[in-house]
This record gives sequence, C-alpha cells and structure tokens, in this order.
Amino acid sequence: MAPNNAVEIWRVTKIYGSGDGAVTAVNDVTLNIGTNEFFTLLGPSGCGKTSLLRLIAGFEYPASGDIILDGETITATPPYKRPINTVFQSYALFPHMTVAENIGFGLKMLDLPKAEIEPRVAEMLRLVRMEALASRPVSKLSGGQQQRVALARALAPCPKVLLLDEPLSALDYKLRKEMQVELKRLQAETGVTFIFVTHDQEEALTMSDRIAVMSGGKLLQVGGPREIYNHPANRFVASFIGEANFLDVTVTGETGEGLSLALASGETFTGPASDELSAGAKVTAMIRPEHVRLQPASGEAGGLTGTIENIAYIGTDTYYHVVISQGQALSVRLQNRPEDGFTLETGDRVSLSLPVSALRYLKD
Amino acid sequence: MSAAPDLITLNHRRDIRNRWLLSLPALLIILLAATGPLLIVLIYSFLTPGDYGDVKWLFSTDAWVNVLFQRDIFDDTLSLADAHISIFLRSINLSVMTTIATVVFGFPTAWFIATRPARTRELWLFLITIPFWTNILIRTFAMLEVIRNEGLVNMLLIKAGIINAPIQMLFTDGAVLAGMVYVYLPMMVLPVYASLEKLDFRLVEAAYDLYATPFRVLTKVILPIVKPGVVAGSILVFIPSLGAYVSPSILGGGKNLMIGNLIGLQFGQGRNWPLGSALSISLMIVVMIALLAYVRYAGKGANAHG
Ligand SMILES: Nc1ncnc2c1ncn2[C@@H]1O[C@H](COP(=O)(O)OP(=O)(O)O)[C@@H](O)[C@H]1O
Ligand SMILES: [Mg+2]
Repeated sequence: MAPNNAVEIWRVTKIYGSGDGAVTAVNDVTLNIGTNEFFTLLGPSGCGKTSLLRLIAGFEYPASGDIILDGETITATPPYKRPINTVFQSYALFPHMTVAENIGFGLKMLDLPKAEIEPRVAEMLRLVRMEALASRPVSKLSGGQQQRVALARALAPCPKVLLLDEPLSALDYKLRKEMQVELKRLQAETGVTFIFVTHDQEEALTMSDRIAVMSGGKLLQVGGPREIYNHPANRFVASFIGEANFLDVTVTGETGEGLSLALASGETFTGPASDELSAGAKVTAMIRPEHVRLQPASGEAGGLTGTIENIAYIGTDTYYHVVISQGQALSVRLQNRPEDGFTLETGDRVSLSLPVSALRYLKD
Repeated sequence: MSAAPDLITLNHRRDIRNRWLLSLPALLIILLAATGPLLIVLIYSFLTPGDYGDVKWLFSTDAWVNVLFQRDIFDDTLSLADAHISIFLRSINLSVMTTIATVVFGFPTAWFIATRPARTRELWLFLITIPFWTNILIRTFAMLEVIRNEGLVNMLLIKAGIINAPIQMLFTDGAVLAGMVYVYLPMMVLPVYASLEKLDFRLVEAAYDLYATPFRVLTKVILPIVKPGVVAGSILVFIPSLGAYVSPSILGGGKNLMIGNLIGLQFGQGRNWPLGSALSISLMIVVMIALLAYVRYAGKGANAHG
C-alpha cells in the first residue's frame, strides 16, 4: 500500500433501503487521497458526495468495498475510533457548551489531561481568531463565527483527515470568499488532509489540489483543477465544470494540423489529431466559450461564420450567442478590452475561429 | 426604517395584552378550583374535630401540633410523632424510587419513539396514552390480578415449572412501586419524548465523531440537552406519587401507610378533619421544598454547563 495515501477507498458501494426503494448513493467508487492534500468531492446535489463523506467518517457502512486510513482498514470501525473529524454543514455545535468547551470536547473524550487540553484549546482559538469569545455560549455567535468554532473543534484533536461537508454553503458571498482563503490557510498551517465537499465548481477549482467529479453515485474523473478543466473526461464533466460548447461533428479526413471535422450543416474546421478517430467517425467536439475567437465577418472565405443572436454583458466580459447554422450555436465569451476597435450588435455576421489546441473530443 | 421597529413593539405589546386576556378563564378556574378549596383546608386545619367527623368552629392548633408530635395520655408531655414522620419518609422514599424508575424505563421508551420514522411516531405516542383511558382503580386492580398468588405471573411460572409455590408479590413494597411506575410512566415518557423530538440528532453524530463512546454521547450530550424534559417528567411523577393513595392501599394491602392513606384515614375512620387538613398542607409544604431543592439542583447543573 502506498504510504503517501491518507485515505484509500476501494470499490465502495453504498445502498440505502432495499427492494424497489433501494437507492445506490455511492456506486463502486475507487479513490486514493494523498496525505496533506486538499481534496475536493464535486458534483451536483444528490450525486452521493455526503454519502461518501459519511462512509469515510464512519456514520454509514458500505454494502461492499473497503476504506483504508493510513494503510489500516477502517471499514467497520465506529466513528469514535477513527482519527477523522468532520465539519458539519449545519456546524452541529453543542448548544449547552461554550466556545472553548466545544473546541475541547474531542480532547476531553480522548481522556487527555487538563494540562494538555487547555493549551491546545487556546492554540485552536488563536488559529481561528476567536480568542475573545472563548467563554461565549455558541448560541450567541454569528454564522461565520460558528463556522470557525466548528473548524477549531474538528481540528483540535489533530485528526489525520478532516472532512468538510459543504461548510461554506450557508454563508453569504463575501464571507464565503473570506472563508475559502481561511480554509486554505488552515490546511497549510496544520498539514491535515482535507476532504472537502462542494457543489460549487468555482470553489472547487480555486481551493483544491485535486478534484473528484461525481455524478449519480459514480466517480467520473479525478485530477487537478487544470486537468479537469482543460481535459474533461466526458460531456458531463465538461459542462459541470466551467461552460462548454458541444459540436456534433463527423471526421472527414486528416490534414497536416490534425483532423478535418465537418458539422452537420457541411461547414468544416480543423480539430486536433487523434489516434482513436478515423475518417467517417462521429464525435462530440468541445470548446470553452472563452477560447473561441470572434471577429466581424470579413469577405474572406473559409472558417466558420455565424450570426449573433443574443448578447449578454457581464462587466469584465461579454457573452455572444452565435448561431452557425440551424440547430448549431456557439457561446463565445470575450473580454471587454477598450483597445478592441469593434462593437458587435445582435444580428451582425461574425466569423469564428476555433483554435485547434482548445478543441477536445469527448465521450458522452 | 424607524417606523418598522415601532410597529413591531406595538404589535408585540398588543400581542402580550391579548394573551393575558386569553388566559383569564384559566386564571379564574385556578382561583376558584385550586385556591378556594385550599383556603378551606387551611381554615379547617385550625379548627377542632367534630364528634362524628366534620369540624367544630373552635380555634385550635392541636391539629398542627399533632402532625409532628404526640401528647402522652398520662402526663401530657409532647414527644415526636414517630409514626407520622416515618410515614412521611416512606412516602418520600417511594416517590423518589418511582421517579427514578420512571426515568430508567421512560427514557429508553421515549428514545425509541423519537427515533421512529415520523409517520409511526404518532402511533407509538397513541399507544403510550392508552392506559389513561382507563380509571386508575381499574388499572390497579388489573395489576393486582396479574401479580396475586393465583395471578397470571405466578400461574405461568408454575406451569413452566420454574417455581413450585407462588411467589408472594402482592402486598409487598415492590408491588406498590411496580403499580406506581405503571401508572406514572406516561407522565415521564411524554415530556422526555417532547424534548428528545427536538434534539438535533446531528449533535449525536458530532459527539460520536469527536471520540465520544455511545455511553458518553448519552451522558455528555443527549442528557444535558434533554434535561428540561427529564426535569418536567420528574416533577409530573414525583408530586402525584407523594400523595399516592390507590396503589399503596390496593397493591400494598394498606400494610404500610403512605401520607395519602394517612390523610384519607383522618377524613374517614379517624374522624379528625383538622388533622387531615394539617397533614394535607404539610404534604404540600414537603412537595414545595422538594421541588425548590430539585429545580435549584437541576438549574445548577445547567449553569455549570452553559
Ligand atoms: N439516509 C438516506 N436514506 C435514503 N436515501 C438517502 C439517504 N441519504 C441519502 N440518500 C439518497 O442518496 C443519494 C445521494 O445523496 P447524498 O449523498 O446526500 O448526495 P449529495 O451530498 O451529493 O447531495 C440521493 O439520491 C439521496 O436521496
Ligand atoms: Mg450533501
């Protein structure tokens, strides 16, 4: 077993209920999470992120498969014997205790002497900048403060792995941005492996060392933020993370640069070379809106042309919805730069170019 | 901006006033039904017993003296009334035992109901209240039928060959306690259930996650949080058990008098209404002292946590 894996999840399946009502929440997931990694489980609501996290925490037991922590199988170990702590989405702070008592709870349950608990609690209070509120009852805290206490409480016993289930989803935008930075800082300072759950792709991309994309209980792709964004494994990943244009094309032949691709309407453009595709193959080509080049149509022949159907201005950028032919349209995102000498209006003819290096072939 | 809070306080005030008006009927009933009779009892306790029950309208403190002391028939000296004191102590003892036993049986019952799926919880609660439909006397006689020497339990045990002769269960302290627990158990289950139902079970998971063993989850998280329910249940069980009359006299066979029986006796065969009244008020005082002590103790525990 590789010693640099904090958690190994091996062919884990979780089924709720039985018979007709059975729901397979986690479907044959195999996953390795490295020590000291900031690892994110990303996927739409209901895809099984929480279930996978609860399996790691020990609140649920898998129907099959194994969970290994630091080389030790913990599949059947109860939560109170796993050196893994959780930051709950609802924080779940103990209402009958003060901030300091909440933070010290895990240490107390580990039967550490008071002389060890007190400095550790003080250290945690400092870490989350809550020293001033140590003796406050938790019911008198704001959402952001409760969040910090929940973090400190989970980190106090020095767990090997910290699980965070959408910890920022209840916070407003500004606070969420602050807490994202805060979480990264905490992870760097403590060196604890973080397994973070979110349905927010932007949050996942900015915070994670690696991301696992899930859908319908299945693991679709695991990789670094750039890898996931630039080389999505399939159509779902491409559309869930960032925005994507999908073009149904037929390979018509090879050119010096790569493959020659044709849209149903007959227009052609060049895509990257691929060993798996030969002339006649049908495939989905994907390109991100910000990678498409767009210019007012010139007289020159060749390349794709289209008509602007819709314009959405979002400040930094503008989105253009360009119809190429019947049933085939592209979303194009251009940065608003004052030096660009052209303005485009709805109904304008434009020429589009799709850089070969930005095009991807996708499985469905 | 400034108008809104004013409106709120105004509405709030009107709300409070309306609520006072709404509670007027209840206040009237309390005044007439509780305070009135109490006043009569208080007055009677300072009168002289009549020859055939009732009272003579002659002021006397004899009844109050007799609560705690007895007058020697020969030399008129006063000595502590051991009988009364031991009856009081026995009653308090029985009530404490009853309360503890209802917590021990009631908490798991309430936990069981609170952890059922929402749909079936109502059914379980309904089942818990079924004994209330039957008169306490009938329930107690049913209990008698179960535990008497020729009763259900003994018969089954003999049939099964576990025992040869019936076990004497009826007319023992255990029988009285069992009867009391049976009667008062719902009074514990319902308030404990009410607070367990509000308990956020994610707190249980959080504690479990933070290295608390199941037992410590119970003692460090669940019990402190549902304590108000347990306190309420204990009060609801303790007070009526102090004055228990039916169980001790039927299941205990009247062998060991409780305060309730003693008071009943004064109004019946004893024909000493003033003493009965004085004993009743003494019982109330005991209840009040016990309650104050208990609430203060329970409150202190909560403060130490919060
Ligand atoms: N305790 C449960 N009982 C039955 N079904 C459940 C339970 N928890 C989750 N599910 C189902 O399992 C699936 C995955 O849920 P969950 O893990 O909560 O997803 P996510 O956290 O990604 O939103 C969903 O279809 C959900 O309805
Ligand atoms: Mg979830």
